[in-house]
Amino acid sequence: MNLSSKSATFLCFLLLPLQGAEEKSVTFSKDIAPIIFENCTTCHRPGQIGPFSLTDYKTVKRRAKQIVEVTEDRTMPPWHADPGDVKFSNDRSLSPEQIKLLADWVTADRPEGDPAETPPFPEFHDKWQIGEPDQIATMAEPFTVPAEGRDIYRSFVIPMNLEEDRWVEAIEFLPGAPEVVHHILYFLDTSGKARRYDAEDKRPGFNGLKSTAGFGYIGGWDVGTEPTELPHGLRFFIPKGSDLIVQIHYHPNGKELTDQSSVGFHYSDKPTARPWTIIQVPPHFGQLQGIDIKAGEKEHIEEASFILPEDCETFAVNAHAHHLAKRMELTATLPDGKIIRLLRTTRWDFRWQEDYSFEKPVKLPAGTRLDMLISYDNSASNPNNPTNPPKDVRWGPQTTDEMGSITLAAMFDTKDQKNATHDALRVFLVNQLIDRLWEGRADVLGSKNKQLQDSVQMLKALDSDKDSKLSPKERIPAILFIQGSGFLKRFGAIGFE
Amino acid sequence: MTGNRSFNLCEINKILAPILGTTLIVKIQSSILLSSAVIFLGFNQPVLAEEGVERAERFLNIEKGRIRLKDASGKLVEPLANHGQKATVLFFLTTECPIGNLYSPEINRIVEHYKKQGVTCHAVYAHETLAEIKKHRSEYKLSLSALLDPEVKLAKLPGATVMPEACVLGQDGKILYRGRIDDRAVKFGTVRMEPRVQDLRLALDAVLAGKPVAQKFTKPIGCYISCPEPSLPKQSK
Repeated sequence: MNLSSKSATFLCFLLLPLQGAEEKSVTFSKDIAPIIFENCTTCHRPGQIGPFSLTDYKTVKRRAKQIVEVTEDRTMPPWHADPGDVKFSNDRSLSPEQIKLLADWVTADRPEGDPAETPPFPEFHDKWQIGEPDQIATMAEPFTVPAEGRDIYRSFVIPMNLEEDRWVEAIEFLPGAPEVVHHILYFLDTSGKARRYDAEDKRPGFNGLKSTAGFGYIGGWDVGTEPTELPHGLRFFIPKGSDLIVQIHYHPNGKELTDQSSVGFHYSDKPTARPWTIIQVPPHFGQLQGIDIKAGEKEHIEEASFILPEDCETFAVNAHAHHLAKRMELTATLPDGKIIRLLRTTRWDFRWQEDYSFEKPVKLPAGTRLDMLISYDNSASNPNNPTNPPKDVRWGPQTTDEMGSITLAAMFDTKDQKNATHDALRVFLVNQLIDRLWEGRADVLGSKNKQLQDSVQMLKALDSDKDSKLSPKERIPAILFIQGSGFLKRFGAIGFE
Repeated sequence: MTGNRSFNLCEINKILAPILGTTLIVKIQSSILLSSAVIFLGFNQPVLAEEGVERAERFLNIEKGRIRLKDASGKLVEPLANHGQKATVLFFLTTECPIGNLYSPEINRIVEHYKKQGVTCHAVYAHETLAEIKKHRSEYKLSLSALLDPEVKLAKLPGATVMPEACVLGQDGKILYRGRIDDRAVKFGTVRMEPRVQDLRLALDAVLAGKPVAQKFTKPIGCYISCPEPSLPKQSK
């Protein structure tokens, strides 16, 4: 007993400083609840994608240690853009002060404080966050997602039954099984091709890795993002008779689920305030970039540059690659020499396909050079490497292939500016094709037909100064020939038409 | 000075352990200690490091006969007692951990594969009600027996700290392996598409072959097991 009472005295001394600290310490009600409600609860509430709920003192207290870990290493909230030259309006990252408050709260043993101080729980709508849509397009049949296995890409065709062209001001996605729906892309098809794909496939929808050539891309949604409400009075155009294609990326999560998702459209009486499009560098997710990453290569760099032929204003940026990408950057060098870093991430994560919206549109005058850089890690030490041991990786749609490009959403003053930008992107793509043929990389086209062999012969003949290079002037006939050949049709749209 | 603060014993032990030593803490805890403002309950700190396996073995041998937990049907089970099984696997699980849930099909495969070889498996839940456990079992098609461990009696013995975590016990109740099921989870938010090392299977194969387990401890990634709150009323000065 003597020992115990001695220890008790000793303990009191040890604990005194802790109690002193507690009096001025952070509390759940005053400091933590506002951070959680503002940044976590959108997903971490019942029925949403967040695997557990963070809705009150009890649930947050239980997860406190984990919350500190994932906020300190910035795994959560998911936001992968480094702070840079341009501010993002949808920045989900926590401030260093908020991260420290969370850590201090755990150090102080997670006191609740005065429950009366807790801010009211945010109001979430049960279904549609931005109100009842004008039209709801729902998958015709439920799709079964197995308990485990690799990610699934599945495209579903939903007839829109529009008898006239429509302008869309907002799109909202409503996942049927939020636990496994990871991200989606929307396309439009007026050709009937998507319906044919659907009919050929016995299960609901068709393989989401099938080429989207010929489909008009109209955006996407990923976990935790707000509904797509177009800024600056911009509108999407949906031609009458369109079918909506919803390409869904599913993540199996340990239990079998069925998904039947819906897309809600908010229509507008007014057409788009300005012409706008997407500028992808390099176009078509880098299909003609000639990506060839050797097994084990720790830092493989791909670069591409595109010069804007016309003035534009960019209002959002988005990056895309598969699992091997690590660092992705897009920098604009203006004609006056000013350099603006539009996007940089050193923590690219395929699981989070984010759109980064600029707080204010960024003016990019004609002559601005866009420089894109992606660094890939194809070593065995990359835990995201889908192949073990690593293998050589080239461009392709499969999870084990790679791709990569960074895309700006940009608006113009005139339709001509937009068309000229599309034309320049097509020439960019044709130049990439010429470079690949010159290098003997016909594999980027996935074919080795006679026509290609002829093209290579033709290119060799164009090298009039015999320096084994094609100068910009020497290429002109080749560019005109390829553009006239209808070859580009196999790539589909270059931007929003 | 306010005294109405409830101390988390895990935290206190973390502070005290280096100063007082584990043996002393155990003595203190067993001789209910009251200071003017603090009450705390007997708990030993879940051990975190590899040497913890050795340390925990001593406790296990003392306690194993006394651990009785209810299973999902309400029956009392003595998971550490010798029922003739060649080895016992405890899977510490929670219904809400995305990493743990991802492992459900693999847990089922392990249960099926090693059952034929005389291995008994239990899922041990520290944080859930019976209704939640039943729902989890049916949603994730978990076939192994489920044990309710609301006081974290069982989890603290081998020093399990996260869910999912696996622990292999030999016939004599000795801990032969504790840690991850395989190396799929790298950290929160980073999970390999396929495992490279199936640690739990390797350990079980060694045990069944009568060989020593090469890797006795691995660091599991998952949601943390938290110590229960002190159940005594809070004291005010």
